[in-house]
Amino acid sequence: MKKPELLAPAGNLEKLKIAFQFGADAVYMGTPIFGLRKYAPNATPHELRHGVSIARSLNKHVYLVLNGFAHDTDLDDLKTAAQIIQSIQPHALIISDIAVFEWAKNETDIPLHISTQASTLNWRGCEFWKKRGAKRIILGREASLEDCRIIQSHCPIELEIFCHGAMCASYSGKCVISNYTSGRDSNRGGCVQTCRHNFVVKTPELSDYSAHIMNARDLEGINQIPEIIQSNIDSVKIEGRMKSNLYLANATRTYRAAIDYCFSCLTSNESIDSNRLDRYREQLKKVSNRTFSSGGLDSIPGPDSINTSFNQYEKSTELIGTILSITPENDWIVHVKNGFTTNDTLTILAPDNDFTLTNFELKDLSGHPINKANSNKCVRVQSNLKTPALSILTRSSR
Amino acid sequence: MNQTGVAAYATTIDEFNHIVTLGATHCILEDPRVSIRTFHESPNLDAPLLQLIDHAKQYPVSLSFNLDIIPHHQDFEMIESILILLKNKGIPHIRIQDPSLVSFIKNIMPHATITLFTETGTNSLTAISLLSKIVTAQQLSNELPYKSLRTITQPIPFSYDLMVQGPLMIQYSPRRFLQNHPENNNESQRIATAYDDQYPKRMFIFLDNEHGHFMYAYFHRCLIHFQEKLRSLNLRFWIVDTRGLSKKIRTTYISQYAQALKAPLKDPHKQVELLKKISGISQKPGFFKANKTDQDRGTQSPYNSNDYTGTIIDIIKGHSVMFETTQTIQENEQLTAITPEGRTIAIQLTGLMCPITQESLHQSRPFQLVQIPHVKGLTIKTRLFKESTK
Repeated sequence: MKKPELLAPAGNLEKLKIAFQFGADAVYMGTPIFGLRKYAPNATPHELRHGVSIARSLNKHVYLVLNGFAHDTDLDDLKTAAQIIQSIQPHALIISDIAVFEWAKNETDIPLHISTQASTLNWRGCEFWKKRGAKRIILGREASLEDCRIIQSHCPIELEIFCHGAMCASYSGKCVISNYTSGRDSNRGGCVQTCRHNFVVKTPELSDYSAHIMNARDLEGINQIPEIIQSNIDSVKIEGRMKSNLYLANATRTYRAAIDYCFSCLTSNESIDSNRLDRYREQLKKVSNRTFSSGGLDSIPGPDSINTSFNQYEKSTELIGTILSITPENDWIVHVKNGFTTNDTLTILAPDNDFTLTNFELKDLSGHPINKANSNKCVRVQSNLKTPALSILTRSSR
Repeated sequence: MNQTGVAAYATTIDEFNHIVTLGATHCILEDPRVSIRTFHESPNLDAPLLQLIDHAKQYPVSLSFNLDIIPHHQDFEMIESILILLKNKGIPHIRIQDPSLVSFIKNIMPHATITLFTETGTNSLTAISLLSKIVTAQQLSNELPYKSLRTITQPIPFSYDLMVQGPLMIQYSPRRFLQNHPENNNESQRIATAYDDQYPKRMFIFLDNEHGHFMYAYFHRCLIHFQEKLRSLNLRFWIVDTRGLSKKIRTTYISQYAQALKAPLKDPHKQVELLKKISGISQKPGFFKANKTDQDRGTQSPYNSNDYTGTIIDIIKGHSVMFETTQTIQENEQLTAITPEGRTIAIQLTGLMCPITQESLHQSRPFQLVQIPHVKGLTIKTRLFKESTK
């Protein structure tokens, strides 16, 4: 039995630092070249290099996402980027296209992980990639834990599975709706998420039906963590490079705790307290979500994996801001996402605990006292409490 | 040179007879157990496939079998039994979507002809060249424009098929979305039309069956007016997909292409109108003419702009702006700012300050929060670059 790696999304360098601070063993990052989150901030070469350097200093990992399906022009772009990527030496490249795979194999010596976009669901598929030199397979989100065990027994190779976050309604990579409806390439980072829309369905035999018929609930796999550990999965992944700092910190911290707790119980033959797992699940529910299902972890997702009546995200906590830095006088420099005032009661999400913030003073960056912090500004928060930089300020949803 | 033929799909003897009568020279046989888009209910028996093969083998058309399932482990037993059946019946041409099936098929049928169609993906010459080493032929992606198709088909001596007519599958899901219909009675298959509330004029086709859910575009792919271009691609088969369509539409679609293959149609645009009239659905070439779905790629490419220095996250008007530097900057250095609207502003760093200690700096470290004097026009999310970016 081994403890799986906890792999978190890092849409930018700040998120990389937050993910590591809140317990991730590794992060995956994109660049504007050829990832599937073209509209995420992504990382420049300087940022990626710095991120890799931070990871090395912490004995953690950074995986670079290059998982679009390449057209010939994309391959030309990659040729230009090869030297840079090779010199930065991320710990792995995440790839779905066989042409990109061969390019990476020839142009770099970086380990290669096969993206979920390749829809690998069985051991023969894993063998196909293993023979070509893949180090790890990120299975399609339709592969169950039972499938994982069968794969392990027939084709030993590192396996990574998604345990949390948004789910493609389709087989990942088997959707081009955006290409035909919006002129944006689903498989080169342009997905417009048409599957989240409301559709009116007409059939000759049944009444017209209006619903968000393809709106997949988010994946949540806390209850599956013990089985994931027992199945010797190498890496469990949280989805969401475009999600907020709050989502990232909360999901990473919660899964960190769940993995550590379950691993400790399993290795010491202690029973796992289901109430404790329920508390983890409750913690995940606090942050914006489309309601949860276990996706394909137990079996092929059924009708209950769709939130047909979706009209707003569920949440009980909202992001107020991120502590960017702390001054020698213990003033927090906070990047504010949602405005707040000195009358608000805030909750600080720190790597190891939550605590309440009530009595505090606010200043602008010049040091002038203010009563209100506006969105998209930076302010100084002065209090007697101590918390590390990159802690997250939150507030109960109004 | 390939002798191009017209290929069409058949799951039943009636369909087979019909497409052969219309002039198809190749039939893609299907079995709902492993052919995922047949629009036919699965009998879960070998008999219908056996009867279809026995019947089809009496006709002078070539045959292949569509094994386009993306298999889970539990599907391989069924796949194996069908492959053995095909081997015994002398059908050695198998079409697949999942490359993981290649070695499995070759174990059972070492001399099988395997045609790969990954549906989405496989969009580059390099990918196609690499895959040509493990399969016999490929059906080319519907997202490839003629220019790319031409590039791909010229240098590689290989057999290619292309779908030239019919409904375009744009999504394949393992989830059966129509099962949530309140009046659903768990039928093994359901076909529906549907529109997105935001685009009520686009009527999509949904197929929901034991393999999952398939969404089709609101128009049919139609390349009848690109006959010369199609000919220049030297394809093995022009595939006319009439699965799920009425007999009348099937008749028109297949016969038009069979005729076009014999002799160029004189007024192809008239044919397009005919196809539209008969089908009641718009006829479009899809991405055959051009594919510009990714044309904004590169607008933010950092590999052309190693001089990216940071993005403004705070402004105190008339006083300062703050950002985290991605690299060292120095007092009196020139920066170029690009606002979210694309406006360019030149900045002279007349001052540099650390907002944490409030001390002046001569130079910053990389990845340090800094404040510089405010310049008119700078806004939140303005990106800053070293001077050489200009």
